[in-house]
Amino acid sequence: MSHIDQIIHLMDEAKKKNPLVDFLINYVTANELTSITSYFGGTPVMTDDPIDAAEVVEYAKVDALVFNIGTVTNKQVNAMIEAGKKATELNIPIILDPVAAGATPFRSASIRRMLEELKISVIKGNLAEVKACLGVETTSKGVDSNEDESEAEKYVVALAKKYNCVVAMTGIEDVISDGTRVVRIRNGSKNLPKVIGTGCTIGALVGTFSGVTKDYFYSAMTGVIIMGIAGEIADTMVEKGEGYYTYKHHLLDTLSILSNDAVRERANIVDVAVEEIAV
Amino acid sequence: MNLRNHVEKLYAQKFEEKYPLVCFLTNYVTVLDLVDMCIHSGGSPVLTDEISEAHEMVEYSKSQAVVMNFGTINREYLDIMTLTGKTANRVHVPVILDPAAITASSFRKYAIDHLLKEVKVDILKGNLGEIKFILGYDTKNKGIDSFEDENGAEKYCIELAEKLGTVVVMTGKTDIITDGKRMAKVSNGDAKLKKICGAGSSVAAIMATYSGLTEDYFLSATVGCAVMGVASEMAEERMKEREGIRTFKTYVHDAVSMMETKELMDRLNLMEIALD
Repeated sequence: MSHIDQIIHLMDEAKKKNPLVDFLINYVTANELTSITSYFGGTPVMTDDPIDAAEVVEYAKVDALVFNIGTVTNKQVNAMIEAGKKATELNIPIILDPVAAGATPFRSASIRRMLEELKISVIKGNLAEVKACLGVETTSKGVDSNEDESEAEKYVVALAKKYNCVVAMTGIEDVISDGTRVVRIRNGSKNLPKVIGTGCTIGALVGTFSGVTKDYFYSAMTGVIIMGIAGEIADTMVEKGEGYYTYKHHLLDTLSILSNDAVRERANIVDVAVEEIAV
Repeated sequence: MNLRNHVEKLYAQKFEEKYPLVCFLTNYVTVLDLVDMCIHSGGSPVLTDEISEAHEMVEYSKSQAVVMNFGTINREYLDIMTLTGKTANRVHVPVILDPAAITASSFRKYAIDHLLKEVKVDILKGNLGEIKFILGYDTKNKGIDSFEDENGAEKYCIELAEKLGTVVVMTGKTDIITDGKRMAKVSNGDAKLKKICGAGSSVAAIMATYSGLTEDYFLSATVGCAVMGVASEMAEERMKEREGIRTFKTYVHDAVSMMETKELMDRLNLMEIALD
């Protein structure tokens, strides 16, 4: 199957199977993440306390977990570790969004703990966060990346190999790799970074599609490309006098009714040969 | 250059893609509105709720301003704010405080006294009831809303600015901004702003974003009031029949995100007042 056939297949599967996605995320964009999960057939469940975090995974028969450290506390890290150990034991995918990785020693230590103690299936972040997970020095700050993305593949592949996982880097062009396969996705809109939570939302989408496949290279690709394409369509809906708050409405509306045909028509995926990447 | 020119110049920096990093210690009700306003204003938000990292956040992430909002404060959060504020003071990062609903309980009274004793605040933004309450006067506040007569409000703002050595901003029918030596009044704003939960705290988010671009916090505070006031007027003009406050809120956010420098300056009703 071609990339686009795989993507359409996962979109259909999620709508058919309604994967249960367990969210341990920040409280700022929580509503967006769970809403968009529902738009694509997923069902959200949430937990915040270490006392039942592991239990929820097993008892509720969770299909995927999404960790987002945007407002993480030590208690929430403990909940993530508890839930994550159970998920690792049961072979359930974990999607990690290391928001503002490197912003404090606490965050760096928390991420290291997760990457070392758990089997993370997909790391989704911007280039600054990808570098921070690798322990590479970055110039960026907070939730936004201002890194030069021309050699992004190098870091994405290195991180994928280091933790034997899929890495989805969002940027001007998105780069996705499992260490052997690499693609660049050339969909997206310059308006997307102006809306808080579009990055986090990709984590929710990747979680949803990871609940219906074992090839997380494709679930990551599906989540990433959906947001890019929805951003492009939302661009066409903006009328004179409208600003970014209305843009967000257009974006969420688009996501809620996005058709397979629109994805097939707009998808712009480029294969990158792994041996061509300078190390 | 007069204050108007300075306002224009600072606002125009929004379009220079500087992305000042603003650290938010705020309430969980309107947090999304605050971070949205930060991004609409050209800033970049970062948040922390963990006591063992909060004091490091400002310094490590190189935050350029810190916003504190008392809306849903608890004991641990007061400690987080105090520690973060001390770090911000040490590394000379401005602290913008919104003492929401401090009249509501004795814990909040303790919290504001404690924070102001431990942390040097650069901008304190509140309504008149909150400002009077910090000074020890009786107030008619209920929850987050003020029911004070704003005639003669200037004297309370000056008194608090002098007492704390800070910029005091009173949001009201006319917004007052003073550092005890200078005073500005912004007479923009649509009455419907009061109906949006989070409009007041959003002003603090805008001020904080511009405080990341200047060391004159009297100026960044004035820009914050100006942007919100003018945005609400632009939003009002966009309203159509049968549209309500939810749509109005959308339009206010849209206006903050899209306002050109010329639109701001054309509508801005700013008065600079000499203080003797």
